[in-house]
Amino acid sequence: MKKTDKIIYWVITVSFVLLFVFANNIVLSIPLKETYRLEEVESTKYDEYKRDFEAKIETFYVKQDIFFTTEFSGYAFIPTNQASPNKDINLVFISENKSYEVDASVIEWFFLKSMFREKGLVGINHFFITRFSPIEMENGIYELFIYCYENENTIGFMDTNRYFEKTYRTFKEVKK
Amino acid sequence: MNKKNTVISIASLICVALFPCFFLYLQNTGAAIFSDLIEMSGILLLISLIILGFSFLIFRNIEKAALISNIFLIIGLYFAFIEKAIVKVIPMLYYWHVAIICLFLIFQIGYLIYKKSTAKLANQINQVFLLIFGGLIIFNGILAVPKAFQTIATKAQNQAELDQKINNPTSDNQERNLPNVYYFIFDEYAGFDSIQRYCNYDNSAFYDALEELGFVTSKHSVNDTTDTLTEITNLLQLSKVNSIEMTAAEKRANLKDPYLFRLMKEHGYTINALDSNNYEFIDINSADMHLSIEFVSTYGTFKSSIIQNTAYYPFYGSEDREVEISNLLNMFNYAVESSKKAQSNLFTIGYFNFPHVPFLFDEQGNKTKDSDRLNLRDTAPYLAQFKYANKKILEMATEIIANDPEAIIIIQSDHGYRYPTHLQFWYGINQFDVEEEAPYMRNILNAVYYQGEDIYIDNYSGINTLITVLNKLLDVDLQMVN
Repeated sequence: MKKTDKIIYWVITVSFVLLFVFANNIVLSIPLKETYRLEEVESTKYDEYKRDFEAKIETFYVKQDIFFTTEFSGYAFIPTNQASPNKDINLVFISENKSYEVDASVIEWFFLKSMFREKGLVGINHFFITRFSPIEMENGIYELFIYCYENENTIGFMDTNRYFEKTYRTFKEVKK
Repeated sequence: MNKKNTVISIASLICVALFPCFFLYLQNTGAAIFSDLIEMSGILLLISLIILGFSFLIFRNIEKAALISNIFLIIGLYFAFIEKAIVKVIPMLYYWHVAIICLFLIFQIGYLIYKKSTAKLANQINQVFLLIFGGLIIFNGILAVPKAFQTIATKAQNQAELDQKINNPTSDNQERNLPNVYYFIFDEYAGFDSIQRYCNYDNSAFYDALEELGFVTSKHSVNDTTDTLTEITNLLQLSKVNSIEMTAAEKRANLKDPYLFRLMKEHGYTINALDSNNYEFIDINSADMHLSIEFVSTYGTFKSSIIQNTAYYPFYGSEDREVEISNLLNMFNYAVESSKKAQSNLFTIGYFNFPHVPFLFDEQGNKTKDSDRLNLRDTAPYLAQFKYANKKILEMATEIIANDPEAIIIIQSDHGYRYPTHLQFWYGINQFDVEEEAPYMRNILNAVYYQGEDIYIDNYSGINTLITVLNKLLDVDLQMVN
């Protein structure tokens, strides 16, 4: 075997091994349309904002694609006196060992206004939807929290009391 | 270069590449379409030749190049099986891990072939591939021959009967030529009051345009329920055979052999049906001819059956929406083309799953955003598709009348826009009092073109409108239903 052939052989072999080892990170770093990426966070990151507010997970759906793309939608708002142009909603999954956060798109949804008329809801940007791949989450049972930012004085972090189990090939809701 | 070995190398590659197509086609003789076989075979052959070309550039030997190409193809074509097997053993691996393992395997085998294998050994292995895959194609072909002959004979007979029916209606009751009849049902097309209530949209312009064409319209017609399976069955049987309380299976059983078809046939009509394959509301077996929609979805088609096993499977299916769009537009085209098929005695009936969800079009007919496709939560996607439905219905009616001015055209919907129940059922939102809203959700599209003549259908339900038209057309005395 020529020396150059050997070098090429080993370069390719090592490349395959590296590709294999870091495959999850490489694949999940590819930006996909309308999909967010989970970020590992400290479980106590939002503890100071813990409070109850109006929030509901309306849909939860796991697509049977190679990323197990998971979609959550719902609404979240904390009553304010004025509209929240910089509103931000995140979903936070907390287990005993790990915590992950994912951003959500805030959507204008007119009908919330009439649903919560008596609560004096201001603005219509209180609906959210997010899609992400749970593959990089460590296996385990996670409790779902919602972080809601209306403005710098009105921030909330709420437990939804809903639990989700992540395994290598599933992400499903479980009772606790 | 040995000519015989070259032929064996290329033949083995062709057999490996074509085996999945031929296997599927021959296993489904009569159901599968020949053009599908040709298309998919062409694609696979082209891919094989490209792989062979690249391999030849590296190996500079046709036998070795064919051998690695065969291995590459086998792994690529049956990747899904390999993935399932590996994942069963090591569940933490995903598609991309298996893809890397397979590519690494191909690289190692290729390296072995390049360094250690002789052309003779490569040729012997290619011969084995040729024998296995070529033999399997021939074996399946022999098994399929009797079925193929039977299918050809049946098709020829059906075509001859159909030609005869269109050209020489043979019904005993048929003493005169009757005008062609077109009956179209648009699922969830909101009646005038329904669209006004839920979308605050005044649809007067559409009704005015229909009336200008010579249609008679009824803006406030309502059907009994908001259930498609109940309503369409009752319309096709011309009586209330279905009720909302029945199970879906019971309702569906009543779709068979519809009385409307029998009645029209008794009066010398040939039945020409178009339906979207997803729902099969129209019993096409009782029709004399029908629009054949081959690709309702990527799933369940010839192409998808092959691709779902290959390494390409995760990337396939994204064109679903284009196929749905094309199918729907084909239905409109087919309806218009039907007005050129016969001078008389042709009954064209079409069920359009439109403007019902999925929301494929905006109001200009452009493709919608992914997030709007199944968005029943907001009224905007529905309204946009509804407006596009208006445009397509008017275009279709205009062209049919231009081609066939003596026609009778009935355009209806099964129910109106069910926005309150969508919110309640899909999103758990009790925004409306569903009972109070029922008359709006049952408010239908109801329009009749009777050769430009006046016909009274004001406030009639869909079924009573149909009965009124048939009584006048066929000179029969069908009783209106309560």
